[in-house]
Amino acid sequence: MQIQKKPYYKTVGKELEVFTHCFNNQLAVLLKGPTGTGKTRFVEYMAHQLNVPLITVACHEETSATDLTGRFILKGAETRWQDGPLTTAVRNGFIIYLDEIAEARPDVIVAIHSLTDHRRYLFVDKLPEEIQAAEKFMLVASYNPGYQRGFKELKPSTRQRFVSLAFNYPDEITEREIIENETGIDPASSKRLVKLANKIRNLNELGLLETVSTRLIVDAAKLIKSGLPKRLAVEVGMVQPLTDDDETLEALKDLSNMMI
Amino acid sequence: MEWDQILFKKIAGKYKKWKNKDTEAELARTIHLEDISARLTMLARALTGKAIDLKPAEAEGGWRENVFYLPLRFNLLPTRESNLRFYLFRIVYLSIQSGQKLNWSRKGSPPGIQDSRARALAAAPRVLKIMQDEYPAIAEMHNEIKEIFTMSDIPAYWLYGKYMVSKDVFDSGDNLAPTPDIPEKHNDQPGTELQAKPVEEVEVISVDKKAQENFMLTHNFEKVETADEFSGVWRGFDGDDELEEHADALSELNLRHLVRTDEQAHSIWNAAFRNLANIAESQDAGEDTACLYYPEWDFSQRRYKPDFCKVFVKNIAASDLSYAQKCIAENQKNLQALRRKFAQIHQQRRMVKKLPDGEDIDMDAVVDWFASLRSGHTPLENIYFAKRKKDPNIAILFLLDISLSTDSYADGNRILDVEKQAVTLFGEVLEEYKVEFAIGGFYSKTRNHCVFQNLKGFNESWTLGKRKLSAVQPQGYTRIGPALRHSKTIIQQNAAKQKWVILLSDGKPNDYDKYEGRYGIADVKQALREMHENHIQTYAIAIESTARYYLPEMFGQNHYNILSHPDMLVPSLAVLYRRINNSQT
Ligand SMILES: Nc1ncnc2c1ncn2[C@@H]1O[C@H](COP(=O)(O)OP(=O)(O)O)[C@@H](O)[C@H]1O
Ligand SMILES: [Mg+2]
Repeated sequence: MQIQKKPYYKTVGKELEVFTHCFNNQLAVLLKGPTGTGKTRFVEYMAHQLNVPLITVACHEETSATDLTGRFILKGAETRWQDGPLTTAVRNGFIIYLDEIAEARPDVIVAIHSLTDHRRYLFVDKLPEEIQAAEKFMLVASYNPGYQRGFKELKPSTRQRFVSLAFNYPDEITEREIIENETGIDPASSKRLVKLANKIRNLNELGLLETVSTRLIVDAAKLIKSGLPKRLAVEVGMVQPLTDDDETLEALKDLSNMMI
Repeated sequence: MEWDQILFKKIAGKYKKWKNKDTEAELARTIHLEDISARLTMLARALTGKAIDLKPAEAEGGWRENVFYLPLRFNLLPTRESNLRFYLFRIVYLSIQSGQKLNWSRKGSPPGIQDSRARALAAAPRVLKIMQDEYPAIAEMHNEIKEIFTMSDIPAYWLYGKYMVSKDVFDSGDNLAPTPDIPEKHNDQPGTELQAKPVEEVEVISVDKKAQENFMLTHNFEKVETADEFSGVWRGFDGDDELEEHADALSELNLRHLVRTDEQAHSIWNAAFRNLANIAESQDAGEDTACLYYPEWDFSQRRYKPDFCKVFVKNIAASDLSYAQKCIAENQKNLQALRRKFAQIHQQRRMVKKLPDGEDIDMDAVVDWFASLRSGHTPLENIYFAKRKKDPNIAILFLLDISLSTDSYADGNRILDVEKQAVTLFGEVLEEYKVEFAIGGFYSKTRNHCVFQNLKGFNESWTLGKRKLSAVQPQGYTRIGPALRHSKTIIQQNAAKQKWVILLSDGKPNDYDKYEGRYGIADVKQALREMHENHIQTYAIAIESTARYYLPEMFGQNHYNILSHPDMLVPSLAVLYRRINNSQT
């Protein structure tokens, strides 16, 4: 939870300043942007910078308020209450990061309501108890907008409870720097990988494909770095994860064979 | 072996062997554009970032706006593999060439084929220089192909194509002034003459006033066009001299491929004939029916054309139930499968927890209850859960494309029948689950006559709906925008929280007054945007496989489904229904 080693994060815009000011002013932050754009990494980096422990929860369809606040567990003839991650963060003044919050069940949104305004408390109905948030507690959530992806939207009324930071794929130069730093791959290879990724992103803009994230490029680069033949690394690391459609795969392989 | 390391030279040594007239070998090494066009289209789109389409060319081809023209088939290289590489090379080449806008500009007299080839050849070094920098593997491949070409006296235009006439070229950099080898226009041929041209610039199309007059008799019906064919008949224009603009639309048509069997031609003629009758009839009827006006989006101007389309809402005489009954009978298995899927989905949705009374005990709640009791609190006794029928609060409007193009067959199934089948099955189950739904059909005959057939209103009975659905016949064109806008009007009157409009079609916007290509797609996108702004969700089900090129762009990833086969109907309807249900939070 306490982040020991300083994570590598390449600043892309003003996100560092914004986040710091939000922290100082006890405001909740929403990181918007497609997957693999460095949101998680950014939060880790900030937690380290601010020297506050971080708890990350990856939300999915079944994530409920109980999962976050806590539950009673049976222990012998006893029942014991166990704090969930959110309650832990609230009590101790940690940063909690709710990744993909829109995926979670609606009662999660209800549960965090009172934490996102001046009240800053968490109501745990099972105890029942109102827990005032410790000074350094901070709520950070991420959300992947764009109607092209899922079907889950975040209600405007929920969105308004957060300061929003938009994340997107970095420009070519920045992305190359990230790849090289993350994986130690040679500049020529990282240049080609990023160029290829941007061509594939063209298809994404035309709605034909899931997108290539920085994460996928990093994966491919790692495979290359560890000695896998380049084209194979790109195929398994960057191309196959995108689609199962045979013709699309073939076109993407043509493309990567041309560019790698 | 890596694909770009094919040693052409080695094979080329046996040149004599492969060049002889061994037809079987020739056949074996021939690549047909049709077989690889999906793959190449994708590639071209990735390379350019534009919605490129591929069209077959008479010979070497070139590019024009968002279309790449490529040889229909190719076998001049010694192996199948190398002929496939030829196409890959051409795609990369055309991507660069079009990116550099290397083409004839539209001004000036139309150049001849010799000049067009010469100009393309002269531009090649510039393209190849970029290729060398960006795609070294392809540049290398080019060198090898070129060597074989030189050895075998194959003309270079196969490699570099020819210049074509493009709108977005402002300066053709004319050091090689073209000498038109096309006859000057005659004075008795009034109107514009334009060297536009779908397939090749070999042919000059000129507007023939007489042909326009004959238009109604030899109607250029939609079916031919959506098969990407041009029947050689001019459409009636509503302006005087709009040829320039029409050239855009024309460039999307294809002059080749007019091969049809007698039987098809026969049935198409019937279809056209029926269509004609309908025009006369509906225009009369249209005179006194009230209509609604909807705007249309002009993407080139980036603005709406207000009140541009007239939508006539019509009722349709119900036929008997036999069609629906037959459909249901024939699809018993599918229907059962769909019911099971729906049941599963509802199972998950209907779990209601924390009840004072119910079918089953919720373990989580029991533990809480127990703990509260122990710690001296009065426990809440809401420890039961039940599978309650939750009010679905969903309204779905099915919008059926009933244009003539749905009279064609995909995989042996008539598109309109697959649409009707989908809605019939879906309707059966929705009715059982008490989900509100409505059905509309649409077609158009220009912007002045867009028809929206009321097949079932939200409050109308499904039995009547089925009878009306049975009576639907293909007619007219596909102006999707106004149909979507009218669907929005209808569904907005419904109080349900979740509103869905589901379009079933062959996917291609098209109407005979220029509603096609980029223009049509942009208008559909805009209409969808209007719906999303009003919290109406959209989804498209298409029955034709080429829809994969325009549906994603219009509807977005995950918001469409292409039914390559009717067997896919049940799974895809189930997927859709799950989504509709999941969105309900
Ligand atoms: N700005 C950045 N600085 C450093 N690494 C980055 C950056 N953006 C993306 N990455 C890389 O991409 C990977 C995926 O990022 P991640 O933070 O997991 O994305 P997200 O949380 O947005 O889905 C990271 O592991 C890291 O390697
Ligand atoms: Mg149609």
